[in-house]
Amino acid sequence: MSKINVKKQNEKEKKVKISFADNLKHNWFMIKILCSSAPFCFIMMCLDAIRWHGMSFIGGTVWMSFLIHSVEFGEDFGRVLKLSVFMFIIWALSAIWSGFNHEYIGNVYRAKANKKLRLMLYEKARSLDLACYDDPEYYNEFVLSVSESSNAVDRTIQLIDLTITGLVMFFAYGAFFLVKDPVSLAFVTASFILRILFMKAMSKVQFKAKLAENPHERKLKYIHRVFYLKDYAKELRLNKNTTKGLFKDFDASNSDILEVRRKIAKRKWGLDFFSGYVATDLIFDGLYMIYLVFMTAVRAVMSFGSMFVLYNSVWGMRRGMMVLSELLPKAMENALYIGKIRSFLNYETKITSRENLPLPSEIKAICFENVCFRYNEKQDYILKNINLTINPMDKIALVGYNGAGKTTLVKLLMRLYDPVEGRITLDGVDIRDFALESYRERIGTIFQDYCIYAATVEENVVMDNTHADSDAFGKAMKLSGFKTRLEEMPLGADTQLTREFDDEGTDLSGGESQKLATARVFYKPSHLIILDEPSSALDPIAEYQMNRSMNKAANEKSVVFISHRLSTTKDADKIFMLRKGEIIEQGTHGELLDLGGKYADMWQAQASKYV
Amino acid sequence: MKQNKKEKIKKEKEVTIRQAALNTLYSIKLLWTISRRRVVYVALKQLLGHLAWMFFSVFFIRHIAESIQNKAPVEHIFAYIGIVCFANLFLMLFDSYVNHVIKPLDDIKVYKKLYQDIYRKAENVELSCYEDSTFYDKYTMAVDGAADKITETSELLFTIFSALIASVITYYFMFQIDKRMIIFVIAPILGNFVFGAILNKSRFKMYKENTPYARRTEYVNRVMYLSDYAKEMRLSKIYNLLQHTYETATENTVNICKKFRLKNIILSFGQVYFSYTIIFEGIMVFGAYCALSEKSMSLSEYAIITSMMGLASWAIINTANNLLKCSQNGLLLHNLRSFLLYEEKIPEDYDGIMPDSEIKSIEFKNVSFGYKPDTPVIKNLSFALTGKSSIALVGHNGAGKSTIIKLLFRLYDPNPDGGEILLNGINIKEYNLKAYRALFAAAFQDYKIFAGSVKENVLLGRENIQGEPDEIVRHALTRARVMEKIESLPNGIESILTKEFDEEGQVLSGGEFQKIVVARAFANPAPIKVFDEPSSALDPIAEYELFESIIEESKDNFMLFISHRLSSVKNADEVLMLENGEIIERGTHIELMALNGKYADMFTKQAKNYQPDEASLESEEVAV
Repeated sequence: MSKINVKKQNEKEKKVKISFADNLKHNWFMIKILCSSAPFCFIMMCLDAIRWHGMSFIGGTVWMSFLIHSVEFGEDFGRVLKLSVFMFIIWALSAIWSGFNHEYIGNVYRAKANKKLRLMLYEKARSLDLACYDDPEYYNEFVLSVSESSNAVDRTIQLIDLTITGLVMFFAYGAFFLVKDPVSLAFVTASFILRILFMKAMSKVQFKAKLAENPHERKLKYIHRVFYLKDYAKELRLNKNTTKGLFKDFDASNSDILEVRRKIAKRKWGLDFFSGYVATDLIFDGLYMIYLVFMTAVRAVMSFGSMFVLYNSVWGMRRGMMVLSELLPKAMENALYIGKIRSFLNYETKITSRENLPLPSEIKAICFENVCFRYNEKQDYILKNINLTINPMDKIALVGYNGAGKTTLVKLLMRLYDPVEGRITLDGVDIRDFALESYRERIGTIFQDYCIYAATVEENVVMDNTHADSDAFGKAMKLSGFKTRLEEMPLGADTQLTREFDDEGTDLSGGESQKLATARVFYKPSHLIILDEPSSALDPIAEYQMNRSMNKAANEKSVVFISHRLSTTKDADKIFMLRKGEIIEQGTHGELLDLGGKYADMWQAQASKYV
Repeated sequence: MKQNKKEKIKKEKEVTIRQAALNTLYSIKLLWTISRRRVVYVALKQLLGHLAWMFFSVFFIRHIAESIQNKAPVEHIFAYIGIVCFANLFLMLFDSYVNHVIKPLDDIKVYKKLYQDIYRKAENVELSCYEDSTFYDKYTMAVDGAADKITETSELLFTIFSALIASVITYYFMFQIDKRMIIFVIAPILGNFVFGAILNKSRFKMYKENTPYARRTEYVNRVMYLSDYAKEMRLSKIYNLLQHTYETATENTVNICKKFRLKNIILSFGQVYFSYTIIFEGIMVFGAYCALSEKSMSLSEYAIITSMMGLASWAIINTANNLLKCSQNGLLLHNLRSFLLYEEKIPEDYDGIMPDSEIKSIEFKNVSFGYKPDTPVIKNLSFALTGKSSIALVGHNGAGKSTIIKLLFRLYDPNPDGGEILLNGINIKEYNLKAYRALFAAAFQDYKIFAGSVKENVLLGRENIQGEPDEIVRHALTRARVMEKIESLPNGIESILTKEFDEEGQVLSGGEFQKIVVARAFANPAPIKVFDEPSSALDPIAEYELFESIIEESKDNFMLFISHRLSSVKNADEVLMLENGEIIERGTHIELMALNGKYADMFTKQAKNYQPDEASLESEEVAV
């Protein structure tokens, strides 16, 4: 369908380089978290890595060397047997230790380390400015990648394990070869260097191929999604022709990928052959073997046992080197990731309280004073010079076209964003000076895009980890109209909602969900209620009842509501008509009709059909 | 009683093992039909690889050791090493060729063919499959990485087979050196197939017990970062609840780990000790005993048995792991297989009689239907619609309006004894389904925008368009009242929608997308147009205008629409008022108002707030 913007994608995929110092800092940061989340487990994990490779060196290489030499030189079997029993016991202890670590400590450790890191991140995520969610680049780059933080835990654990593996193997085998036959190290080093070179060339080829395949992969993934997501299923059945195009694209993308792979297949084949055969088998089975035979049979300076032990141990040495050589790139990759987590944690929230003032206990007037707002500097203003006052117990309606800025205005009122110019005051004090949490606490809001949580009905209304005040709860249920549904539920307020955790959980319909979400507002002991299209998913009868409830609630509180349905807003004390971010008309319903402006037009459009 | 239960469990297990085997065979068969080359090369690669491994462990060093001990000329030894290395060169060439030429190239073919089949099937199964969560979960699982699973499984099978050959040969040579050594084979078998198998079962049980808690932590993780929840997170204290959920889940996970701790540690000890220690250390000590006390083993034989048992026990360990993987894949392959072999109840490619493009009548005759057997949504519904008319379906949430539309589209069929739906007097099941569906042009409230241009989104791949496509698209967009917006985009109707593939792609507002979807129905010359709440995201003015267009459109067409806004219903030729899956009232707006029933009540309630105050109403009446 669309042409793919390959170049741009590629530019984006280019790796971001970070300095060596940052690399260390980032990894160290994560190690500290891992260590502090469960210090005992952490130490156990490290010790286990040492044990595992230490034992395989001692039990494998050293012990084998001892046995072969014993056989070669005809030692007393009694002594061998005694040492063997000792070895069996050591291995048994080692196996128990390993079981304890892998079957228990490791699992507990992952759970605890994840908890520690995630709760840290959640604390930050909930205080992050909402603006961060609007910026897709920030959102993808940080919020989404942070949501996969458990990868960072696993990767860091792996990295620690690899570091220990590499060090233990390198030093143990290094010492062994230095004692036994230092010349062998030359073979290992030669093989190691050659292999690294070939592998580097290989990963370059593969990286380039991946870049070339990426846009096609992306296309395939999209096609995959269209075919398997429920959302598209209906559309595909009713518009049969849609799939023709998808299949055509599917074929084309696959052919393109095949072409990319075909081009590099020979080079990859060659490189893999060189690193697998020339740099490995030929050196060890061929050259090194010839050297060993030469030393044993021709120069006779090496026993047969030694020859055999050296031939078998040379792999361990190279493995140690390989692991060490892979450490830095792996650490880099990990650091890139942790770097995101750190900058996420270090993000400075802009919406905070300036003075932390306590709030007045009475309901007071809220004023918008010349408020202007835009989401970012590239955009046009979404709100321009807004002036409006919400007096205590007032019922205010915001009406207007799609995109007029109604919802944005409410977001400013809730301090999800701060005005770019002008200010909003409560009782004459800038709302930025009040303690943020208690300020928000005073306002009950329901947005169009409310969410139902996988929790009980009660918890979904209270929205906190406490029990509901039963009077207030009952009243909220009644006002929102959810009561009749609640009475149908055998478990009542304890009914688990959504099937997220519980296959027996209850899924609510759109209208029911909206009623429940509205109940939150009625439950909350707030001074101001904001309702953003509270009746959009309701049928006419339910909408009618909802309107009546709201009128009732408004007697004790200030109310701001937004609706497309002018019938809902008609009885407001004051109606503000917004258009392109400006208040173009204001007054009571009667006044606005008399004015004969845009509001009157809109009213006419809706009402004419009912008259 | 107890025995019965045991037998039952055993039986179940046998069935699964048989099924795993069948599924493995199925995957090879499937792979064979797609790429024979891949199957043959991989099988050969595994076999040659294992034989080479066996050669190096059993013969290579032994021959060198014996030559040295027999004081053979050193040139002969060097020549031997040279020949072996030269032969190995070809083997490695072949190995690399399979890994880097055959596999990556043929994998694409496998992927393509397999997913083509999957998508064709997905396109062809009835819609209810997507709503049946067990079916859908199976389908999702089957589809995820299906190609990799198939290639992996068939390779595993050849690996197991080759490992068995190599280890049997190795054991034979060990047996030749000393017959008693065969006893040590028992250890890794015991370790892997007894301790290892029980451990895996226990781990799986632990994993299953932990699943509810893992689901909780994953849920919290999702909620915390999704922007949908961001606002409420800041405005309420819901975080306290989520944090509590997370912490309790972690506590429970830790407790489960504790519960399984002792059992798993013992089992893992058994697995490790028997699979590694007993055979490795055992054979080495036993060999030392033979060589030192009995003097029945030479040094070269002693040296070789250590590398021989390495192969022998690793072959068993790998085989145990591979079998485990095979049976894990088996479950997924089973899902894939049952999905591909699923027999559609409403095959989308059903061939039948071709419908007449002129619509004379649509009739529902005693239709009953429910998504689940015991909860009927539509009950004994009968109605007939004739000629070119506009029909409005109204009613409460959940009254069955959308379901009627879905039945009419044959996205679902009525219950088996649930009556029939007739078009021009013929049961719609008789028609060629594709041609039948082509009679409809629909706009739903749960629309989808595809990643493509505006034009493509309006035409949706339709071919044989009569007239100039661009003209048709423009005209449809104009009637849907969104042309102005589209023209303001840099590339007009060629502008790409969504940022799926293109950073410059346009993301329009919900209302604008909705209008484009309505334009789809306008651009489609199908004789029946259906609109399901086409204005839900629109403001009043836009809604008003859109309905003007829709009513205009219906002049030459058969039209069905659903709306909550009764004002938009007023001009329909006929209104069907539904309640609990039944038509309770039917007629024109005026007739229904005169009837003074539920419709009138609903209309009045909506209209009430739009009515001028009593006084002005009276004055208007006076004026009339």
